[in-house]
Amino acid sequence: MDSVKAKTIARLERLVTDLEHIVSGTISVRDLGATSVIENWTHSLRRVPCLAGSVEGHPLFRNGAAVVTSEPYAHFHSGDEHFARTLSRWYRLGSRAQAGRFRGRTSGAGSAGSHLCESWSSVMPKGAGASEA
Amino acid sequence: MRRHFTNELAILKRLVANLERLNAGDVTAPDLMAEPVLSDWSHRASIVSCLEGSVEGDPAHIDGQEIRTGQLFAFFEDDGEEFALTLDGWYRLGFAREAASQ
Repeated sequence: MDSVKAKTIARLERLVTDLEHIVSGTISVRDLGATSVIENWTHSLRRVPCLAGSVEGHPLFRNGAAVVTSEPYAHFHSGDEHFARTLSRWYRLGSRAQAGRFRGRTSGAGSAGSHLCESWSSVMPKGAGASEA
Repeated sequence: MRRHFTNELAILKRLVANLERLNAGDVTAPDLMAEPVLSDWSHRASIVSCLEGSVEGDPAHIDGQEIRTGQLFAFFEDDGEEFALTLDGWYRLGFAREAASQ
């Protein structure tokens, strides 16, 4: 595992741990004492990548439905088969739209490889997860 | 609120487990052939919520630098202090920007 992948997973694991503490009610201000301060703050929005396409075999959508996924985190390929792991699930990638391009790089010259997407800095559309394709 | 977090937690835990398996080389194409197929696909962008403001005490930024955080997940208040949990980690909330100055 290279450092970028380890950092990505470590950050997600910390987020999971923090949310678990919130859910269980075991978090306290003492745990957060050295936290950075954000002043003059306001709510804002940021753009994150996603994939759009036509889905088949999805438990929540009819075949052929146009869907927009949550943020892609990883890409895996084996031979000619390509897969994307979004926040919510794996997708097997079919034909690419004309002018579309998977921005992640594939690793190595072998028959299989994977990488974590570079652009991972935000996770899911607000309130999403269950509503994500 | 907690139910919402519980749902997000399950999604994030599955994601972490999947990424760890992938990095360990434990994922094969046959494992994934039953997953939904996305055809005629392309890259798009979506929007998530975050905070922006002036940061202090962050080793990654100089004090006073204007930043936009990673995705916002939760607020937590205790002992008169307010905190925000983002994908970047926790931030303690100072004064909020006046609406008129936005």
